Amino acid sequence: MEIETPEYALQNPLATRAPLKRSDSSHPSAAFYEESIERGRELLERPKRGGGLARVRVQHAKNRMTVFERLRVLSSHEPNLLWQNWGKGLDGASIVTGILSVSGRDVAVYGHDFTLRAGSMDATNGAKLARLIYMAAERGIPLIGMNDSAGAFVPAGVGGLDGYSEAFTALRRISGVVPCISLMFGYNAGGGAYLPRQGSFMIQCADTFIGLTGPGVVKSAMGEDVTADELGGPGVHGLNGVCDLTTTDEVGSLRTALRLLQYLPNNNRELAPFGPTSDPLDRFTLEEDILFRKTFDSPAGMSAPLDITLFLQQIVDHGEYFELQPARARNMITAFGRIGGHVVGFVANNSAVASGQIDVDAARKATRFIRFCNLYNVPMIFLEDVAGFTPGTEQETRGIILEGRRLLDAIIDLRVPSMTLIIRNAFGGAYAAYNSHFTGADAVFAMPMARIAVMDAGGGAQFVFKDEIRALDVEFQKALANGTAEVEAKRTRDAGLKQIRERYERELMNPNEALSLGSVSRIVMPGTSRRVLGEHLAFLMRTYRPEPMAGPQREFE
Amino acid sequence: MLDRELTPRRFDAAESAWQRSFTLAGLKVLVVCRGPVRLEAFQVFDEIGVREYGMLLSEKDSVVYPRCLAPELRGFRFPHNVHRVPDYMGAGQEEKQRRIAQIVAIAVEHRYTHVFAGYGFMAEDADFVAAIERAGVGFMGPSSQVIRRAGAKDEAKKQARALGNAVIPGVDDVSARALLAKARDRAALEKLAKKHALDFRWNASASAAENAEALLQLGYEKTVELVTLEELQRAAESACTEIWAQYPTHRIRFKYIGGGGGKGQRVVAKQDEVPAAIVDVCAESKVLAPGSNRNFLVELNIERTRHNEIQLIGNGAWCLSLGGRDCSVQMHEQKLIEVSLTRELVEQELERASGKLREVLRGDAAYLARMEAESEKFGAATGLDSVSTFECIVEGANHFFMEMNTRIQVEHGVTELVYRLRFQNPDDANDFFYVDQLIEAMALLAAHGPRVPRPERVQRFVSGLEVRINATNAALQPHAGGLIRSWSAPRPDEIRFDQGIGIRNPDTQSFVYYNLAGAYDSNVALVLTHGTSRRENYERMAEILRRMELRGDDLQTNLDVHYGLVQWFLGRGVMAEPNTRFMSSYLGAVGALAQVANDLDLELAYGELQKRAKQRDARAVLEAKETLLLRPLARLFANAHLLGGFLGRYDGELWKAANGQVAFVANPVRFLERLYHFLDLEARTDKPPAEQIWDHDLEILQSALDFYAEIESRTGAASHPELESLFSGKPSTALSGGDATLFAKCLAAHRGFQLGLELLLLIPRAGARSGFLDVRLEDDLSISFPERFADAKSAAELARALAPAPKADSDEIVTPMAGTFYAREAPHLPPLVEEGQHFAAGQPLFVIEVMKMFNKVLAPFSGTVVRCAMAGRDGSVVKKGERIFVIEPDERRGPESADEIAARRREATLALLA
Repeated sequence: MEIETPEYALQNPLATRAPLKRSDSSHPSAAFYEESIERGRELLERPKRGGGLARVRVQHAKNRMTVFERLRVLSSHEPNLLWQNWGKGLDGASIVTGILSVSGRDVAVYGHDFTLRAGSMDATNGAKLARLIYMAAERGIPLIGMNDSAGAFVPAGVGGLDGYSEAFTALRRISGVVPCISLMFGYNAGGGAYLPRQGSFMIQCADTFIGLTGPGVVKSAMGEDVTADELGGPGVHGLNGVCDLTTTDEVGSLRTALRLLQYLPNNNRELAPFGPTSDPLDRFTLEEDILFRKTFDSPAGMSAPLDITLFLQQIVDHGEYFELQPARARNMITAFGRIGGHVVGFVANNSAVASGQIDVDAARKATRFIRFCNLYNVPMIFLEDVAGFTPGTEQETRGIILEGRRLLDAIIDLRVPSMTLIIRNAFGGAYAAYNSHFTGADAVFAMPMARIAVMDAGGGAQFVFKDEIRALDVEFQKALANGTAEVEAKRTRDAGLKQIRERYERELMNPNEALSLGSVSRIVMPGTSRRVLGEHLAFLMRTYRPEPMAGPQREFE
Repeated sequence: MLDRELTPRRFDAAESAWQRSFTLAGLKVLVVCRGPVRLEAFQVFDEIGVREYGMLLSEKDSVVYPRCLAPELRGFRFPHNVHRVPDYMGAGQEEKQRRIAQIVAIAVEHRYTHVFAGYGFMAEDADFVAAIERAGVGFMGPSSQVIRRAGAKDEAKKQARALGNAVIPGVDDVSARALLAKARDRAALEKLAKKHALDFRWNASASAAENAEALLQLGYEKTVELVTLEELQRAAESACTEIWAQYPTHRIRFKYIGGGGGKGQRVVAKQDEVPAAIVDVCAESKVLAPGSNRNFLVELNIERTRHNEIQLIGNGAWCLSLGGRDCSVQMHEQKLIEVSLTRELVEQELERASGKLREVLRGDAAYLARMEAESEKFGAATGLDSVSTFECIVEGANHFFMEMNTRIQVEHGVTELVYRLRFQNPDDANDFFYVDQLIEAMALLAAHGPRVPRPERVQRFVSGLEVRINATNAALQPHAGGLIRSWSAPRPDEIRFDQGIGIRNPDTQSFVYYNLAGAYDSNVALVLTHGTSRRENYERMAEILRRMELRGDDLQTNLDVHYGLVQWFLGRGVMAEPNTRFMSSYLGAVGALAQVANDLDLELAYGELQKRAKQRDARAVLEAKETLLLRPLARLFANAHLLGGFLGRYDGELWKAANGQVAFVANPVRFLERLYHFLDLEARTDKPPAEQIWDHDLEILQSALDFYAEIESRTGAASHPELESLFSGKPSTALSGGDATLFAKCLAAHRGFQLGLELLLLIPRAGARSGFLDVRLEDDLSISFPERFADAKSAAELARALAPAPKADSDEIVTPMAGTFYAREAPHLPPLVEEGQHFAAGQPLFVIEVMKMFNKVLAPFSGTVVRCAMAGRDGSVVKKGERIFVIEPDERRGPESADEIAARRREATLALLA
């Protein structure tokens, strides 16, 4: 019989390395054992093949890694894969679950295998995912999810939806027990978007999509013509808060997750990783003084905007901090950093953006971060420089009262060590709400130029010096009646008003009253913030026992 | 220092008493510069065992930008020696004097024995150095006397002329000329002096010009303005008229006397460009303030020259030259690549050269020898007592002296790679030591100057090479900002001066994100390496750059530009002698390449191949090879600098191009393997899978390489034509030993492996189509460009394709927030932008006050202000989204629709696919 030779082939016919020899089953007694070994090997291999070479190529053609390749970026250690052949096809049901060793820490990890059924969900992998999630909580280890799923597996019918429900439930149940980082790869719609957002932090890279439905459905249902990137790319979700961090590619996302993990505790019973620092806690930081001089000696004076991250980088260990939601609502900065080796959650008003007022977005951003720190025993430091919540139609329409109140509630609920350093402005309701002594701060400090007052000079003077202002008006009317030119009379009156405002600023916009009432613990001189905050933090942490949150659940989130 | 066995030692631990007498252990050095040299100095001081050192932290190092605290602070050994200054240099004379006083006070108060200023602006400032000397502190660098004699460009020219060196035609006393224009004679000058209460005495034995010069000096000392900017402009105009009378086609260069690094320089082509250029020169040199010394050189701009310089070292009594450096590859007056040029190198190349090349190299050897001899004479005449650089321009085999930079230069590391210094005890032939770092030599001279014997230079490596990694876009325009998230560690043969950006967090060992906005200037790092020949040197640099991984957000550097260039030189010839215009022409050529590449639709091209494949197994093969082929091609075509580098490197080796036709020379499989290697995509375990060849692609490529290796060993056939003939004739017995089936299998494998590889020819075709492959190295080592690249204007136009400006739809700028509008930062200041004014992306346009906070609103793109809708309404309240300016954006979104673009690309692709 003649063997037909193809005209085109990709095998090397001159290869000296023979292909792997298959078992020789000519010996009947050896056959069963050999076959078992072979079958076993096949079973071990099957999930790693995913949807086969052709599907892997498609994945690669989109510049995306397979789930196993992504695992290799997270750790050079082989993952300890669990329930490898779960699923009707003994193929692992398009989801990979396991335990990974990351810098000596155990981390539970899952990843959709997009090459198999486009990573879609059915009852089996829903159950598989839920089992991993519960195991992470039981063992008290963080969870990393690598999402790359087209949604529910349609042929599985209701089973696919049930699979999602089971996974949703598991992830919600462990929320607050172990932290979870959700990495978004590929195209995630519907349940594929809802599921990962239940995690603590979500990281999205370029050329990916997250959304309820894709542009196709949007076009047919709404008539809206939009690209996937415009609808649900990182440019969208980095701004709306759906994603906490955005990156340029998959490798960037995986590495960012590893960096974020360095600030996260394993679970709600432990502290975040502590390591002694070589950056002296008592170093005098003259840069603080320089920064404030530079800012407040400018033409805008005490009204000059101050990029608070410039201050933050002076006080943290080796100047390093890790900002969350860095593209969104930067009037409020949320960041992890270390002081004296302790991981700290920082919430800071940033007057360099929109005057640092607290608007709906800023409140949401801070609320979420504060709740995370509170659940996971991360101490908090508030850097305060805020004139108030943003007023106006737009904000009221969006419900600033609800969102501002949520921020206040999250602060009141804090049970971890928390401190506030008032740098400049602390006015009115914002002062009261923003981790003040009576909302439960362990310590409130103020810089000498702090302006702690009920209102700013314009509004405040109206109330405090009501009589003086009325007297000026009487003078004004009198002068007019006496025939003084109106311009002249106005000038006299305005000069008087200016004096009153200045008097208000001088007498009332300072930390004195707050100090006298015990609302502020002490003055902190520029240059010594790191020392004062660091020493106080060390004291608070010495006397703090990390444990899960307890007590009644409050009504609002 | 290094002992006789070249083992590093400190002087105080040396073997002989003579060597120990040069101890540096008593030194306490204050480092007053930023940039890569700061950390380099710390490292040298650690090695040589100075007692202590300190640093000046400027505001840009600490409080101006987030995420760019001076990285040197991480693990800094002497935290108590960190001193603060607002900046290293003030705007204007008065502030500079204050700064000098401040630095001197720090040095005195903290008992520093020496001050080191690296290559900062202050290093060459005679006032600064003199103030340090007066305070009794040592200056680690040329003394103020040397700076005065040689550093100021006008003085240096005079000195050089007196020594008989060749200099460029020009005027070096434009300020004196301006003064004489209004005060012609003795009486007028004396009257002027009296008016300003200057103690001026007419010197009858000197010329009027010299007297004017003397009066000007008195004026500078008292910050009295004797010559206004307008008068200087007029004097410069008349000097230009004189030069143009003789050289009507040349351009003229203005250069501030104390400038360096391309700052304070302008080139003009027409008389009406003169006044503005002078304002620019003075502004950039920060001498606009009345009473400043604004003297600048007016000289013929020599258009096609090379830029060579000689490293000098001396102690006032002796002066030694340390070979040359060719710094001709530069752009916007900033050097990009510096390569060593020494007698030893030229001689080594001469040994294997013949014909025209031999002639050129002999000329090079001759002018190099002359330059070195003249430089030593000049250095000795100025009493050089540290290190300096003797800068020349070279045209053919002639050189002209330009200036002496009385400081260590950025590129000093190139010289350190080629020569070390051998110091000999005059009383004992067996007692000697080596120094191979110039900063160490500077310390030695500063501490023991007159006692240091004249060293001998000893060759280290034949060749040294430096590239400057700068924060620029692909068109080499400065690019502000960008955040570095990670940077691979230096390779074994790599020397990297990165300002400490790579110093990890000492506590967590993680890379600390670094915001490039805070860098000293656009220079981020220097990368150096060596070779036993210039070719090996370039090979090593190519490998370093190939493996360098620099990741971040919105990060743009010239790393790919360098990688492409180094590969290009490796292919075209590393002994090439580019002139200072080379880079702008090269950028034009790369821009033309980018235009062709942007029109290429690779997926469409691949679809076309699939359509052409008739057999089922052929289609299957193409499907299996899709990522293998398209992935590296897409990467290469997405980056015109990489594409240019690959074209330069492999033209003639992998393919040949002639008369618009291209054909494979090497086996296309080898071509593909080189492409993966070039792109740093070959299989390696230390990289993420997304950054190396996919495993299934590797399997095919490796099978193919094994197959052809076996064929070569059996038949000797390796090149493309050989393989074609092997498989087009009768079955080869050498290959299959008469086994017809085996031959048929081999034929099928050959067809399978080759199928689709014709796509690789898109690379040389794009090179031919754009004209890039016509950029050639000539016999005389010059580089010839087609006219549209050689012409500066059309080259600049082409280079725009490398960095297209962001396009805008909008004709207006609206306020992103509600508040009170102000056009200016403070009442006494002018508006931030005015009608008719051009603005750049990121430039502040206006101020919105919200709740007593003043927020600067930045331009989202670049354009020109047509009208200010809020003119004269400072202080009025605006709503979010309200129009502030009517503008004309620089680049509009083209009128071309998506379909039209697709059609154009389709046509271009099919044409290129042939």
